[in-house]
Amino acid sequence: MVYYISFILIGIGIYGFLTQKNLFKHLISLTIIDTAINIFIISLGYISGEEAPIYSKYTPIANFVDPLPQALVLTAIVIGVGILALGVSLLIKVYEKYGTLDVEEIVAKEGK
Amino acid sequence: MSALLIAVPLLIAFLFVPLKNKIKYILPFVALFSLILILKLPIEQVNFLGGWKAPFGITLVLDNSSYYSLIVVNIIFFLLSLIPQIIEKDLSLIFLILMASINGLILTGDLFNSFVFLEITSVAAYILSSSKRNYYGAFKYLILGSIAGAFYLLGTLYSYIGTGSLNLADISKNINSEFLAVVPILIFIGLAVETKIFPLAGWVPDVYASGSALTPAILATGVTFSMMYLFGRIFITVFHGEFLNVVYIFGLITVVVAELSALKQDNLLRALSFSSIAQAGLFLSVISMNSYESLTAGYFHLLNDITAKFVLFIIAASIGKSFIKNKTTGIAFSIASFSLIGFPLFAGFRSKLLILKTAFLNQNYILPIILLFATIIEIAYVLRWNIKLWYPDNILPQEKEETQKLSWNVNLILLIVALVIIVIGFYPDIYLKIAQNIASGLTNYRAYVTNVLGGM
Repeated sequence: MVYYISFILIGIGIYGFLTQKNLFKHLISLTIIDTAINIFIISLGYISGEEAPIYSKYTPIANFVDPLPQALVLTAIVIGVGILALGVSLLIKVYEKYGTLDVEEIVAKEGK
Repeated sequence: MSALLIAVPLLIAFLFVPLKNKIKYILPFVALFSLILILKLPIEQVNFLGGWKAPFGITLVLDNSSYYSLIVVNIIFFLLSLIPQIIEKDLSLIFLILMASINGLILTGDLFNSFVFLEITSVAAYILSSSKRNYYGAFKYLILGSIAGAFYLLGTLYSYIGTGSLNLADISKNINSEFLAVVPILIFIGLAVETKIFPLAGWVPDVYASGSALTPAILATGVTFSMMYLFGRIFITVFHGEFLNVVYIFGLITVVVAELSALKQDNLLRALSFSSIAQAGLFLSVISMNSYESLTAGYFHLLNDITAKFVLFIIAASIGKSFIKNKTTGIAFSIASFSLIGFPLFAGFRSKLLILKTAFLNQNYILPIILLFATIIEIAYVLRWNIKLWYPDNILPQEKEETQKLSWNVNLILLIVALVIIVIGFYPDIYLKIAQNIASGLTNYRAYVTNVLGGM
């Protein structure tokens, strides 16, 4: 079930890229795709009824969910945040240079 | 030992953050250090990080192909670090980070690890491409590159579902037809932005033609070479040539479209960036014939292309409208551009001949037609630009005053690289040896698996 949510979210993100003209909305679409993939990663390792993958005396039988996707999702989130921050700082510079974030207006000003 | 190639540039980048202005003078030493370190490393060595054995931990694999790719990439970084004029003040740090991440990208033997290095490389490339106030081009590159990164991550996850492993050698061993339908297409989309395949290469002219000399000189040579290495590693060593027939068609379309667009440009840097896309497409369609000979021809051509592009991009970005004041630079430019079109006696001729030979041996007649068609268009625009720069017709006197003479170290390095092009034209053995080693390392996937996972 969670798979469907993540693929619907990827679809929404791609729809945003194709239809929106504001650059900031492109960045938000990118974040939506990133989030969708993160949801997909965690849903991979989840097994219903199993325990958190921490080895202790309370869990003598290792009935764990897969810990690897959880390690992967942490890395993916950090990379996503880094790219988001870089994107926003580039957008601030774009706004300072052109005075707008609309794709068509920027292309018109570039052409001059 | 090979982990030092990643650790040392990163460590120096972080240590010198307070001394941003001085870091320029450290760059040649760092580049020289990694070059010497590579030459001292033994080939066929696998480094298990943290002591975890192969399928469980991250591995750094040094085999024939990654060894020679590292040498090529680090020579490019060394040459660039000797030209501090083109490296802007704040970009020296990014230069070091890019160096670390590219070394990691080539060395890694883990699919998720390669995604992390791919993202670090792209982030460094976004920052580099925003120089000269080219923020809109950099933002476009960021959006495209990040979507591609997301697809690459999705491909990585599907290969984890399919084989239960992220280790390249383990995936190559446990490959099965069920997941082969999904993973190559996702990873192909993920790499298509960086390897400049046609529908996803729209960012290239905006980024390369920003007017900065460093951006195209590093993105079109070092970064492109490492991405092409990664492409070969994943599609040939891991997937055993699956999906390459699709890559072949995309490569041919890229060649035709990019050459036609290059012909139309009235800006030299934009024309060169379209030519760069076209050569990437040609390379991908050549290696998708998937044999030892075609890989040798492909990597030989790629080496010639990046040597020529190194000279062409630096000159195109730093020279004004003519060669009136820079005659020696002009000679280097002409040599590199003749090598680009494959004029006899220059290096490009050798590799184009080898590609034609390989294609005919494989009874492939479409690639030669496209290659010759592309060469004719290349001749048209390269000759036009040469004439325009040597004999400028409508140049104003004050523009002539403004063109500055390039300093001696830029001229010296450009001339040396141009001389290498001529030497390779007569004795292609040096480049051929590198290409053959890369090709044998990529095609021999049994040796790769045994090397990483131990005895089978």
